This record gives sequence, C-alpha cells and structure tokens, in this order.
Amino acid sequence: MLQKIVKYIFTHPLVKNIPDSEKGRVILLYFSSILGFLATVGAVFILMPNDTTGQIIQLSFSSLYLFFPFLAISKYSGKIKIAFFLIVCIHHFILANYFGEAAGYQYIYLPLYICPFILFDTKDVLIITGLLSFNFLCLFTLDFTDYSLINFGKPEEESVMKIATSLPFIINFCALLFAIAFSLINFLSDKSFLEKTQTLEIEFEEVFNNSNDALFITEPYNSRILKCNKRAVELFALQSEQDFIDNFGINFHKLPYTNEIDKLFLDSMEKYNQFDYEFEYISADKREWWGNIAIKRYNTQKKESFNLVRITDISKIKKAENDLKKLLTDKDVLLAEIHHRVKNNMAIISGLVYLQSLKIEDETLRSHFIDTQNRIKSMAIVHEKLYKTQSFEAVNFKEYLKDLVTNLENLFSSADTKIGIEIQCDDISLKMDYAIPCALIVNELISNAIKHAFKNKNNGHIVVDFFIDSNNYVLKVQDNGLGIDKDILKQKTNTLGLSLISNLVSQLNGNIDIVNDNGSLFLISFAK
Amino acid sequence: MKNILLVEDEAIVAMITGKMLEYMGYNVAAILKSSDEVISFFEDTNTVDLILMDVKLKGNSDGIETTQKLRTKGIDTHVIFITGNSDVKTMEEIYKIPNSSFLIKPVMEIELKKKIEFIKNS
Repeated sequence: MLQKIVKYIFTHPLVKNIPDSEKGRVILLYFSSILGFLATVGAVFILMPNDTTGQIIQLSFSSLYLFFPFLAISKYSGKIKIAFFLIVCIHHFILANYFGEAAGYQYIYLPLYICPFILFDTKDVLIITGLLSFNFLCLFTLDFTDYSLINFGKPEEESVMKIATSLPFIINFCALLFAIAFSLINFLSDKSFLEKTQTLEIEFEEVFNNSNDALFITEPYNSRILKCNKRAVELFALQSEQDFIDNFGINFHKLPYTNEIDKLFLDSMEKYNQFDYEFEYISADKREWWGNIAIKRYNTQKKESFNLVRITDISKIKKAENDLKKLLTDKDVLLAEIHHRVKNNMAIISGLVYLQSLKIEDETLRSHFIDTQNRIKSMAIVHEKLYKTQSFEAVNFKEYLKDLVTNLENLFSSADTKIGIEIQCDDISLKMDYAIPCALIVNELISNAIKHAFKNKNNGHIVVDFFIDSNNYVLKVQDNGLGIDKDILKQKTNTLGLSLISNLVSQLNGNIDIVNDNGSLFLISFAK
Repeated sequence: MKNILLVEDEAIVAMITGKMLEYMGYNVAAILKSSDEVISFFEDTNTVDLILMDVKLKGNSDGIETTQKLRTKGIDTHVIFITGNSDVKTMEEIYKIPNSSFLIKPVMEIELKKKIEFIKNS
C-alpha cells in the first residue's frame, strides 16, 4: 500500500517533471503545506465557533498554504515571492486587528507560513530554522506563562484556547523538525556540492593546464587574453602565463589580420557562435609555425560572455599537406612529361614511316604510308590534348575533333575540290580508353570520305556529330558524296580502313550501322 | 626560297625533317640544336630564307625566346615554329612574333609543303 502511494506520488505530473535531486524535498513541502492548512482549519473551527465571517477570512487566507509548493517549484522571481510573503503578513495584520488581542496568537503562524514558502530556497533554510526556533520558544513560553510574555489577551474559555494554542505548537514543532531535517540535508548536500565543485575546479585546472593544445580564455569582442594554460606559454616560447595576460592573439600572427578574415570571424560567431581557422604564428623565439584556432563563445552563470580559444600546432600536418601537394604536382608534371614523350615518340615513328616511304616510287603504295602517318597523328593529337588539359584521364572530344579536322583539312585540301567539314558535338569528356579508338575511327571515316566520296565532284560536305543518347555515346559521320559501294557494304572488312573501323567499334563493345542515304552515313554507338 | 635553317635539338627528328625538306627540293642550310648556336649562326651569315624552329629547345632559351632575340637583332626571316603543344600560352606567344607561323608535331610532308608554299606566295 505504502509502495503504491509512493509510486503514485512520484509518478504524479506535479512531481514527475521535477529533477530527481529535488523530488524528496518537494514532496515534503507538499506534506508540510497540507498539514499546515489542515491545522489552521482545525484551529479556526475551534477558536471561532460563533464567528462565521472570521472563519471565512481565515480559511481563505489559510488556503494560501496549498499554493506554496507550486510557488516554490515554479520559476517565479524573488520579487513575486516577496509580494506573496507581504500578502501573508498583511493577512495576519488584518486578522490581529479584526479579532483583537484574542487573535494575536496568529502572529505566531507567521514563520510557519514562511517555512514552506521559502523552504525550497536552500540558501534561506538556515534563517527559517532560526525563525522557527524562536517561534517555538515563544510558543513554549506562552504555553507555561499564560501568554504573558507576548502580551496576548486572555481568552474567555481557557480550555479551548489551550487546545487552539497547542495546535500551532504542534505544527510549529513539526515544521521545526522539517526545517532542521532540511537544514541538515541542505547543509550536507551543499557541503557535498561544494566539495564536488572544488574537486571539479581542481580537475578543470589540471585538464586546462595539461592540455596538449594551447588554451586561452579571452574577452568576447576584443579577444584580450584573460587566462592561458602552460602549453600556450610553451608553444609561444614565453616566460610565463603573465606574458599573455592583457595581450592579444593577433600580436602573434605572422601575417596581418585582414578585414576579410575579421568578416569571416564575425559572420561565423554570429551564425554558429564559433570560429575555426588556420593561421601562421611566430613564437617569441622567432619560430614560425602553423596553428589551427578554434574559438567558442560561452556564457557563465552570471551571464558573462567569454571566448574559449584552442590553438593546435598543425605544423606537421601542414608540412605533410605541402609534401602531398608537391607530390601531386610532381605527379602531374611527370604525367604531362609522359604524354609529351609519347607524342614526341609518335612524331618520331611517323617520321620513320615517312623516311621509309621516301624510297617508294609507286604513288599508291606510298599513299598507304601516308595513311599510317595520318593514323599515328590522330593518336598523337589525343596525347597532346591530354597534355594540354592536364586532366590526364579524359579528353574534351569536341576540342579534339576541331584539331583533327584542321589537320585533315590541311592534308587533303586542294584547289580543285572544296570539302567542308562540320563538327556538331556536345562538350563531352571522353576517357582515354574510348578516346583513342574514337579518334582512329573518326580519322578513318573523314579520310575515307575526303579520298573516295567526292570523286568527280567539286565540293562536298561532311558532318561529324558526337552526342550522348540516354546511356550511349553516339558518333555520326555523314557525307553527301557517292555513298559506299554495295560490294564493300556486304563485306565490311574488305578494306583496311573499314576493317580498322569494325575492330575499333568491337573494342568499344559498340554497334555500327552503315547507310547509303544521299551519301554515306556511319552511325556508331557504344555504352558510356 | 631555297635555304632553310633547321633548329631541332632531337637528332632523330632533325634528321627526319631534314630529309623531308631535301625530298621537297629545299636546301638545309644547317641543323642547329640550341639558342646559342642560332645566335652565333646569324652573327656570321644571314643567307637563310626560312627557319624551322622547334619551340622546345634544351638550354636557357626556347625557340620562341631565340626568335625574339633574332627579331631584336633585326633578323626578320620567316620562322615556322614546330611545336608539340598547341596550348593557349604557346600560341599567344607565337602570334606575338611577327612573320611567324606554326605546325604541330608530328609534321607531315604535305603539311610542310603547303605551309612553305603559302609563305612563298604571301
């Protein structure tokens, strides 16, 4: 049964939301208030059996008891508490004057009223205990000296009065016990809290001073240093912590603190209440080092603002970062050099093929050598593009096509035939694996078109289109020439050029469609 | 336009280009490898009609700087730059040099032929 009552009390909404550390105290407060109320009611009915108005007035004010715990656990300010206290005092003053001397004993309730009201405020518990003790002494004296000490009027019916005065006596006694108990609890908990606080302060100082990072506490807006740890002194090679006091962090910056940085700082503090940055510092021993600074603004219980500043020496990380950057730059330089070498070697291979071709007198045979040179050049341009863009992984195929077409126009243009080559290409970056086969395919198709599609014609038009269609790359080369010979179409691998194209498309895992439609149309698609 | 000076620091490329010019019927006045050699060459004589200059030369000065030096000395012979890089910076520098043009490596006979003929005719 008792367990159920306790459970009910502790799970009641009025108690549930109170912090665990305060629950016991608040429940006692409830009990004392209810007890105080009941005692007052009892006293009123005994003392004023024939005075209904007096009973009503007394009861109405007595009911204030029931509000004390709510006041105590609420967030009311001290001013409201004082106002409430004054109401209670006025109440007693009215009662004393209304009922005359016979009701003078009401004054002795005063501390009792105050008891639950202020009891929750731990700092005042000792004062209340003192007041209650005094009151208890008064009552005690009153009981044995016929009320003379406090000069109250003698009641008409002494037996009733004795009962009536014994009630506040009992209540005051209980309240005193409560107050003493609370005083003890408070004293012990305050002592424990003080000890804990002191321990925490010592631990905090230890942590603060033994941190591997430089720690500072500064003023919030001008960053004047108020406190620092040992690591800060060590890191900045100063003599003592005093050297930092009233100094400013920016005095140790290697570079001036610019308006841009200040704006970043102010914006960050406004938005996030913290700031994170990297500065280069100069210590007192002229050592230059990189530090990561993290500033966090905080408020104390007294509503004062400070900045907690942490500076970590990140010189090693910075050095590693710079080494890594240098390695990456070296890698880029190396890759660029490789592509340059590849291109130069291709130039040499092309030249060697050329030298070999010089010994051949047959023009048809010699043209095959020139085709080979041309194929080498189409690949060399890819390497040149990679070298130029410095990406080394992918080549802008539109740019590539422009260069390839310029090269082919230079090679094949003549005064007799005007062949226009139009490029319709989206800005597509093509990986190396795709770029070289595609380059060779386009080279073959345009070369073939220029050489064979416009025989006996004065002009011609070739369109090269490269685009993405859903998940496929599509290459379209179309001319308005004679079209492909039907016999060649049946056996696609009959010529070296078509054989190359067929194999390169296969290498791309793609498909090729060749259509004769007012010229020839090559439609090649392969997955992205 | 008969005498052509070839400036190329890679022997094999110099040989190929030299043969190409000879095959086309031109006379290779000399094959030089460095900027200093070019400057010395023009201190003694100025009988070349055209210079084929590799942009990337070993040593202190590249082909473009060498040509700039020649221009300051008043040598205005047309220079065809042979370059492996057609990057914007190189192209801009070439365009700034008066009486010059360029070809991209690997140079093919037909390209060179057309280029020289174009210079001859212009």
